[in-house]
Amino acid sequence: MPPKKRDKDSDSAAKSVQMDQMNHELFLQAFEKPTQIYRFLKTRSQLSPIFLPRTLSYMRSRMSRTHKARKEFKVNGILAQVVARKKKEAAPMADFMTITFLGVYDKKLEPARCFRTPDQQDENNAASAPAAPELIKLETILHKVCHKKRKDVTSPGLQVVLGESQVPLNPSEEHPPPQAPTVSIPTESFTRASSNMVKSFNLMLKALDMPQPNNDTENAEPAAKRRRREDANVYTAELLLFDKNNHCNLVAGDYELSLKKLEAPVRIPKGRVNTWDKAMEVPVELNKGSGQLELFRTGPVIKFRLNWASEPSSGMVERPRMLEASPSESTTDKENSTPSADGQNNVVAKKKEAQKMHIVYQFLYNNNSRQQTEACDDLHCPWCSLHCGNLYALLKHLKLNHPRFCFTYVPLPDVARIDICINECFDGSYAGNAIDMIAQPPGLAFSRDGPVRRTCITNVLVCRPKRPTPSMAEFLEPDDPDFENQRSYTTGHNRLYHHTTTCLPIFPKEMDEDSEGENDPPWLQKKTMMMIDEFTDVNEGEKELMKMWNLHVMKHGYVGDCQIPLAVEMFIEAKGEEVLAKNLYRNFVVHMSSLFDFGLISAVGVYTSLQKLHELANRQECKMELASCWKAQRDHWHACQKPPVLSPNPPTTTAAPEKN
Amino acid sequence: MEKDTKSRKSIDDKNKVSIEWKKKVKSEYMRLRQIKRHKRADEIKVAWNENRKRMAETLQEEEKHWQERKVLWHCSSEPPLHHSVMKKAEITTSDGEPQSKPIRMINAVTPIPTMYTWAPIQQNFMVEDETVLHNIPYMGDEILEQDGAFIEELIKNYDGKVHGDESSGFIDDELFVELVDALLAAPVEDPKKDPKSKTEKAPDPFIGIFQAISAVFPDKGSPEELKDKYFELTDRSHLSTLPPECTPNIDGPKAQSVPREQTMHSFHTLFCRRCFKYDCFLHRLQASHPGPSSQKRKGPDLKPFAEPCGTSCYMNLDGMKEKLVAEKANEEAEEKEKNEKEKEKEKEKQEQEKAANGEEKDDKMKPSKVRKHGSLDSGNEASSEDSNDSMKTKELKRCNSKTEAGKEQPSSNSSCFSLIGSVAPEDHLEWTGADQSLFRALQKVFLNNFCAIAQTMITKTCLQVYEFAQKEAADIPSEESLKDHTPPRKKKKKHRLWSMHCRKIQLKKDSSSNHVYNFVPCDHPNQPCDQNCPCVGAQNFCEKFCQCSSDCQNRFPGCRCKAQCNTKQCPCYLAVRECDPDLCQMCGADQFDTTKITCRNVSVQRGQHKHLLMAPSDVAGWGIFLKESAQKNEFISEYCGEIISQDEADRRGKVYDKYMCSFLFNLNNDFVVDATRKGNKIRFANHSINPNCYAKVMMVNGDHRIGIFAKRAILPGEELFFDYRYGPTEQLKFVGIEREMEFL
Repeated sequence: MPPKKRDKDSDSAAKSVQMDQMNHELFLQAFEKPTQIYRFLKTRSQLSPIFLPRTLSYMRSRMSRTHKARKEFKVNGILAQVVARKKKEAAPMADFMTITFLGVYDKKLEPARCFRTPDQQDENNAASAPAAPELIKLETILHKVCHKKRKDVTSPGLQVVLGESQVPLNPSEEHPPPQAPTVSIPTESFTRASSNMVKSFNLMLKALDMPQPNNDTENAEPAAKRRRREDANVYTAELLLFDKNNHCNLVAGDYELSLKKLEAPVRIPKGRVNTWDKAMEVPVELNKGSGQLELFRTGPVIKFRLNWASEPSSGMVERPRMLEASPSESTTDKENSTPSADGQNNVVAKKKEAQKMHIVYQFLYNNNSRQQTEACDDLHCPWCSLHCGNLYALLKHLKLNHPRFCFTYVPLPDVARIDICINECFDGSYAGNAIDMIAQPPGLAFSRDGPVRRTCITNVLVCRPKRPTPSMAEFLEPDDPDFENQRSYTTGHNRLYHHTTTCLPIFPKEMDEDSEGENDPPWLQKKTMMMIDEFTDVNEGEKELMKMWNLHVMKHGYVGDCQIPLAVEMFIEAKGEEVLAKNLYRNFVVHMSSLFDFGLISAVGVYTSLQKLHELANRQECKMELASCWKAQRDHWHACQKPPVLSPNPPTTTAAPEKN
Repeated sequence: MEKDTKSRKSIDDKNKVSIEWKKKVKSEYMRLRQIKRHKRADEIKVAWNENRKRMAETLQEEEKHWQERKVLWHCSSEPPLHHSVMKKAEITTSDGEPQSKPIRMINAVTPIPTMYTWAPIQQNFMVEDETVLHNIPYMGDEILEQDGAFIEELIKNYDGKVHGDESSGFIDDELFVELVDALLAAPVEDPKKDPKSKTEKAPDPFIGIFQAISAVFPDKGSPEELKDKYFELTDRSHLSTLPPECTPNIDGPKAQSVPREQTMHSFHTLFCRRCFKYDCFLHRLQASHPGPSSQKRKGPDLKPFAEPCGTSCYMNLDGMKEKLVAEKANEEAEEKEKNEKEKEKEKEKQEQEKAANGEEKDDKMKPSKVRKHGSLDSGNEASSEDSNDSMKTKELKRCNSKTEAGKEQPSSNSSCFSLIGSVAPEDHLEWTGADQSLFRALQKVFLNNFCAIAQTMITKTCLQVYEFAQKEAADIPSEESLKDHTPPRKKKKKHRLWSMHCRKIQLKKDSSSNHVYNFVPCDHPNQPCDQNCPCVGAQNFCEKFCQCSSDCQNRFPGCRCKAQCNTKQCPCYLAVRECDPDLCQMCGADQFDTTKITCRNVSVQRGQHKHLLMAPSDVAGWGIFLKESAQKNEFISEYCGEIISQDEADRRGKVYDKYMCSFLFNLNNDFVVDATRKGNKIRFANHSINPNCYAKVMMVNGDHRIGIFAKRAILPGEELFFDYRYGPTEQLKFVGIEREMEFL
């Protein structure tokens, strides 16, 4: 019974659908989160990149310039460079802009011409051999857009017809027509002096007799009639030559312009070959312009080559070979160089080969039991859309930047397979510099405030080995599974240190300051002064000298008797003037004789060091100080006349005269 | 309190102390205490405010410093470039306007371990035993509840004394004097009260006051005692602003003429001969503070100048020169006798002298210098042999200074700094007290070199000094008494003997006991260092700080190593001593510039520690980490702290054990190092039974100090551990408590 069969059918179908769904869920479960994370990181690094990929050693292919110029660079040469550049700018550009039309391409017409169905054959008489494609009349017009006057709805323009040429329609790539029409536009026509009103210059291309695509509603009409109608089928394309700032954005190269019907002339310079880094194309923009992109993909397109030349050329020239719109080329010539005429073909050929590489990503999940494959034709990273230039760089990039996955390279004939599975060992916990933890928010080390010092951590126990020559072998499946999951053996200062007294974190730039560098911390200096001040039976002069001496000894840390003469010498050097200024000369003399009593310095040492102090005194202005103090002493002595002798037993002045 | 006074009322009546007086005493006492309390509170407030201010200033400075460096994150109000992809916090206000801000994640910061305040020191600091318990330690409520007995026991350790635990009857000398003064003044203020009683008390107001005080504070003694005490206290404070034993400043206007001992008293008593500082942190509390030894004079002496120093030189006196020459000849004769005994050596030396002083004209001077050499050598036997070079240079220097002085002759007063020129000639004839004291201090140094004394004094001429010296006739120590009569020994032979000897001692030490005693310089005049010497008794070597003769048998000879002194080949290393800069010169231990030292056995004294960094430990609490690598046996750091007695350590240890955190480290049999309050970074080193460091107590210039050394090669960033249980030698018993965590 049919129902039965259908039942079974639907059952299996449902099952398969269910299976598919489950499968998909598993796939999502495995890959969704990391992909989201990497997409986020991609966007972030596009908007505010931390580094340029071209600076990475394995991304050398992205680096277009060499550092050769640096060798000859001289600071004094900067002026000369600028002058030269200015001169070049001032010099008039090439006299002529030559446009060589390669052909008008319309995909809608293509099938009609290539696979002619019988009825089409009947209808289309014009169909001829593919070697001789239909020619279309193309009018080249220079459109000068003038400043809008008040009340004007549209900007007034001035149109100068530059020429008319016959452009082949859908010429075959394999057998291109040998000749191509050209138009030369003298650059004088772009000068603004002619009319101040001109705001910008546009190049307008008018395809006068475009054939209608076959699937048009009016297709049924006879060919003769159609042809007549085609006069009205005027397609135009517009290209901005000079914008209102008088900048020309066009460089020599191949251009594709989409043609639109006259009623709505839209300028779409989308198809420019010399795009910048593909990775910089933000998807949002793409979405916005998707309508136009669609148009570009399906609608008629005119291809031409633009050259700046000194000689005008008109009529037909030898048809140049088509330049490949290969992204690899776009990366090599980046922003600062245009493809040089001679080396061009070679480069293109080489890149073509590299580009031919087909890459198959095989996603393994659910314990590697299931897989999903996705093919890719270029070398863009699937997460970052970063163009890596070559397979090695791509693999290296994947491996280093997407550690949540494991990548294994499986070389197959004319295809490269990359197996992707979830990295079970991925440790999402913080594994970087401990200092970054206190530097809030994370990633301060990459701040734009200028360079920030970081602590040194050695993460691997090797002494920077010679960089191995890049080899694809490193991405192959490892023989030893443990090889990959090497325990990171970390040495060095992989932790956050704290100040011993305040417990505040030590920043890397403070690492070298040892809080124990000096052996006289300020509190000890104060302590020793306070302790001496506490004595009641020590007079102020003694106290002052003792403090100075103590601080001196504490600072320098003399360890032996033999260093005391040196200590005295250094004391006089450092504090001799202070001693004199504070009126402590005699106290110092007494201190010296005390050192002598302790057997720490010889009489000669005492004498010479005091002589040194005298030298200082001679130099200094403290002579008055000492003299006035001596005078005060004498005055006091006179006042007291006979001083009280405090000690009963010492030899007194009264005893002396008797002996005399 | 009230009850007390009431009950004692009857006694007071018996003593005929009027209630009025008693009331007055009480009220005055309360008033004074109140004033004191207020004053103290004010002081604290002021100090607190000052500290706050200083802290704020420091913080501000720090802040500025950080901002300049641009390494700190400042939350900018502007959203970052990638804000479009950032998570946002959104809210709709009441008027329907949505607001949103990007969310910035801030890392969680792990909390740091607990830290109790400590003060950084680089050298040990000796502190006294604490007689009162400074605070009752808080260890959490549960311990207090569970183990109340512990606190009681702790208080008992301090004889029940707890800081700040003042009874209401507390009265000290200062308060007592103030109280009496206040009471003396009081009766005058209220004369109308009872004129009769006033007249009664007028003849002896003191007795009444003291009786009243005695009644109120019965534990302070009888009225008579109080009275005596009062007079004693007031006498002292009334006499002068300075205590009697304080000598007036010799640089001040009131300087007095005092004997030499008095001038030098402060310097002599406060100077630490071991630390070269006044009132040092380490030895000031030790009972035997070595004073200057009168026997030893460090040479070379300054001989009287050969030529008169100027027109007013004493040598220009009639007959003076002849006298000097005669004296010299005398000395020479003596010298010659002596010299014969040590012919060979002298010959050598004379040759050296000749080579050095070839230009010297005055041949007469030579023998005397040579003599000094002889005496010097015997004076400092340890450094004698290789000190020849240094002596020679010093001698040269001396000659230079002398010849300089000689050359200065015609204009000596002008070129040499002096104040004489600044006053009228008759003014400087006066010998003020300061002049006299200074002369006495200097005479012992320069002996009979009056020129030098005069130049140093800067206020007197040479002739004046000479005359004053004659007048003073002070007992100038005769040359003979200074001469060391011990004959110089034959060095090389002796050294060999010495090394034998010290090895013997070392062996004896190792075998006999594990006790290490603190070194105390010995001082037993006229007695050789035998069994009675404290150094010998404690099995310590005599050090240069001892008062015994320098050729004492118990002295350590030092090493003669030319290498790094880090093997047992070095006698110092073998004896667990650091090289002594005054004994070991071959290894460069005496160099001041640490870069010139080849010796590796001076790390503790030179403080050549490694740079250490503190971070939360991998084991427990805080840990200490090495910044740069260390080789095996390399010095890491000294374990510094407060030096406390064993008794004090027992008391403190009780608290530390309860806290499960101890920084005690046995130093020797007498002392313990406690790094709790003062210390250095190595105090954070944790315990491990498989450590990478070891500790060693070394004798460093007479002090025991703890060095921490690397047990194996240590890489940068490694945490440091040492085994708390074993010290340098087995005698270090386990101190403190180990945390169980650390055994894991």
